Amino acid sequence: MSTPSVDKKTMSRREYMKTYRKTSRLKEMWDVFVANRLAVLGLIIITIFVLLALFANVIADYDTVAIASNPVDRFQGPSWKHLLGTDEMGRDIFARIIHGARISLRIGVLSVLVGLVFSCIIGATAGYLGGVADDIIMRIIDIMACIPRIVMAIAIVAAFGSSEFNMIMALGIATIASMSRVVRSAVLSVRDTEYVEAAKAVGQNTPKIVFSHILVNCVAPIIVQSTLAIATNVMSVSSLSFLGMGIAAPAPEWGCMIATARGNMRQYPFLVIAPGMAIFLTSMAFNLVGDGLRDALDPKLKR
Amino acid sequence: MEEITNTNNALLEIEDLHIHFVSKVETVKAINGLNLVVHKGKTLGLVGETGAGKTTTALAILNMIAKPQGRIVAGRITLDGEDIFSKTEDQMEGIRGNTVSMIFQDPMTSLNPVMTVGDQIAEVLQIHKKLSKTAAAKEAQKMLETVGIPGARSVEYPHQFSGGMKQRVLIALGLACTPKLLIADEPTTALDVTIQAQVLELMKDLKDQMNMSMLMITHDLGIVAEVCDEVAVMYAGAIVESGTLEDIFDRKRHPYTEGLFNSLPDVNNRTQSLKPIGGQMPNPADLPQGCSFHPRCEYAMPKCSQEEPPTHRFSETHCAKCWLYENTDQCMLASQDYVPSQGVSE
Amino acid sequence: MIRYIGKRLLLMLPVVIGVIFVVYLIMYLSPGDATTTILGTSWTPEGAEALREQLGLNQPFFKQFFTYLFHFFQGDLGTSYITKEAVINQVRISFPNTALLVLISMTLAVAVSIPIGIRAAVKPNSFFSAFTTAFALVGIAAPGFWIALLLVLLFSVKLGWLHASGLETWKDAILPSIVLALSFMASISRMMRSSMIEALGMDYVRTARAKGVKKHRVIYRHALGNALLPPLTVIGSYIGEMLGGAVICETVFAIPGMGRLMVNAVLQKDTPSVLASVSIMAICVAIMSLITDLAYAFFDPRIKALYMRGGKSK
Repeated sequence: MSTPSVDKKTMSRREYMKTYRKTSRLKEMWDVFVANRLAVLGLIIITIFVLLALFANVIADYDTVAIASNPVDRFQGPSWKHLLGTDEMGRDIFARIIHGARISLRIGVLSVLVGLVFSCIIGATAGYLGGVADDIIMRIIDIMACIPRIVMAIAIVAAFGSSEFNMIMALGIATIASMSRVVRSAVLSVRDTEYVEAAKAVGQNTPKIVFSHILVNCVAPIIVQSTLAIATNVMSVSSLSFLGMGIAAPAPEWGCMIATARGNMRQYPFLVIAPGMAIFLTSMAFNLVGDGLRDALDPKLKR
Repeated sequence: MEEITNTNNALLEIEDLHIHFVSKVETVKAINGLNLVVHKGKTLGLVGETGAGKTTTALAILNMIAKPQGRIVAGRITLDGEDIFSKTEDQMEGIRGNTVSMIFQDPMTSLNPVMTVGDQIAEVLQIHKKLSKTAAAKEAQKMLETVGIPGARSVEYPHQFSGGMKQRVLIALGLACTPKLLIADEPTTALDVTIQAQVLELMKDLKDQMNMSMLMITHDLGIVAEVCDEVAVMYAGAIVESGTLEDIFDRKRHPYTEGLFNSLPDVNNRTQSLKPIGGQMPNPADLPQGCSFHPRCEYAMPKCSQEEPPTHRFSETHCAKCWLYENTDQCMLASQDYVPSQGVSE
Repeated sequence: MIRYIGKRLLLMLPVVIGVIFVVYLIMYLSPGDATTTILGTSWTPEGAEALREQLGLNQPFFKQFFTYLFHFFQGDLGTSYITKEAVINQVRISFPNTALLVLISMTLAVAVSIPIGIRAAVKPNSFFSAFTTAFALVGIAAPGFWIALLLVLLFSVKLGWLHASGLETWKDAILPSIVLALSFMASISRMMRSSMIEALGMDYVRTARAKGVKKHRVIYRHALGNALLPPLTVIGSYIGEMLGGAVICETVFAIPGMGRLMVNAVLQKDTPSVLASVSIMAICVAIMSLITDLAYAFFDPRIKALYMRGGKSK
């Protein structure tokens, strides 16, 4: 920082702040984030997908364009009328992909929120209470962690049926094991800091301390982990649907589209490639943003 | 000072060293025209605040400035008659740990956690003394005993040692090949006060036994008083005042040196309030014009912000870099000459 | 050390029981009735009641669960509702295929990604390093089944080199192993890279250089010795993810393994097979994480000391 030619003694506090603390913390984080070109690329891709998903009905009507079969137009190549061509039932692939974005983003984000709520409760309780409670909770989490994520999701969907609500719950529950560990270790890292001691000393009650002091200061790793979890869950949604255990045809779910297109893969590989690209781009974008956020929010994690 | 120094007597000479760290956004001027001499068999204390460039200087002596960001813009370092910067990396590997070795600041992290301390000491002996594995292991045990650790503990890992013990291991590591120069970078900062004294005593003893020179980097004037023969005060990448221990403690001339001493509590006069130096070290990426200390200097004159001051010599050994002495040898500082008290310089 | 291993093995028992409990609970809570699956078109209320009696489905939950658990540890995994075959026989056929697939992929992933990660760390600003980052991104973000189909398109449809399905010869294992290994190559190499970069910046590396150790040895002895530890722990925990990947991979390539067993069982509502396959996969994960812990202790003297003193793992 340059030393401005202001007499320090006569400078008011406000002037001092103005000269020496040019940037607020949020601005600083934003600057770090923006400096990471890949993260910005990720953010742009996410924005595009979100806009496409939001205005999917404006761009292409669900029932008539994305769902209704149109045998005359089967297997067409890309054209102005069909940006990405048509599938085996003459449906517009671009329309199906943007409607598919709705499903993937909705389930991806909501399932992470579900997992997050559970994980915050579990992880914060374990981390804050410590001792025997911590031991018991973490052993249960260890048990859950033994069941692979996708296997857990499949088991739950198998047991309760593959409605969208069940998928959200299944994928949400499948994220608990890893996410609650992150929350717990974040809580542990701030639990014994002075400001928490201070809150205890002035007699605040436990839930208030946990929520207003501890969780707030654990936000950084939790946000990073959630962003990465969205990427994983977007992939899981399509994997489940691909296996025939998630969203079923004729819904324009990406994994489901690939499963249907598989039969005609030899002649029309594009039908497999296009929805796959959509999954890949979405998942990659969330990964990039997650990495960018990690650098911006948590300077400790930076190299 | 180079014209006065008796070259035959100098083990290490640094002349007009400039080191910059260049990144996309800025150029950090870490070392700016540094001159330094360490005489044979003597201990030089390099004193300064954090960020003054002390560690960078030490790494430059080992030719270990991180490339490509770190650039040696100008200057020469002569160690034992050899020009360090003209050496290849291979040749440097033969000098490091052999002619010159370094003890780093933090003993907790400076030892490899997955190697036994014996192996770590033996490694340096195998490299430079070409000892066999078993001979090196035996010698390593002897070195451990020299620094007061039972030789049997050589099979233990660093985590099994306390901080002070680890620093002893690092000293053993540094001295294993009896170097001519030992650079100690704040070797006791991370230790408890009682352990500090033990480690310092040990280093002093071993230095005398092995008849080597030492460059003691520190910000603690107490340590300087205890172990050093000569002192160089560093500020923003350059030496502002240098001299013998007495020159600096009793006849200091530079306002920054005065500021350092004023920041120390005086045991004999506890009612006197401390007088810290106002402001902070300048950002090395954006150094002020003229004398880099002028924004914090109580004696600053208009000239100070325009031109860099010349080095003024007071005696054979003593010189300072300040405009106050443009026309005089007399002390211009408010505190005048220091009367040695029992507390600091014995 | 041996006492520690014994203790850990003993501690695994509750985990295994817990896993079976969780899976059993999920299956128990599921709506629907097994009798409709088994009897199909010949379903009558009387027949269904008799069948429930025979399968013990009328008993209270904990009685059912402990009966199942008791049989499980004796190697009796029940009888498939669909094929009427003992589930243990299905497992005997499927398990080696999955184990082989996972083993090959794991070896492949480690053998490729560790050197890649090291190199990318040693030359952090090179083209190679950038390439690794890009490659890692593809591996992490592209879904396995999609990569599988793309590889099939290329190698069996276009080039005709490899079969698209089955596991008859060793050649059939190539594509599935690559698919399965790919995402782990990505994360292991990424982790190795950052772990190595971190290690190279540590004080002990500087100490080693300052004592005149050759650059090569500084990298491969001092830095690598420490940098290998974090990826090592992760490799063990990837076993779970890998089994998850195997589920998808086996389905795409029609490999008769545990994953396909599970998927088919789920689709046919064959509860005993679902229970058995999920439980066995989870037990494999538990065993692997134990092995990793032990390996970690073997390589890192600090952790070893912790265990020897009887401290617990974190």
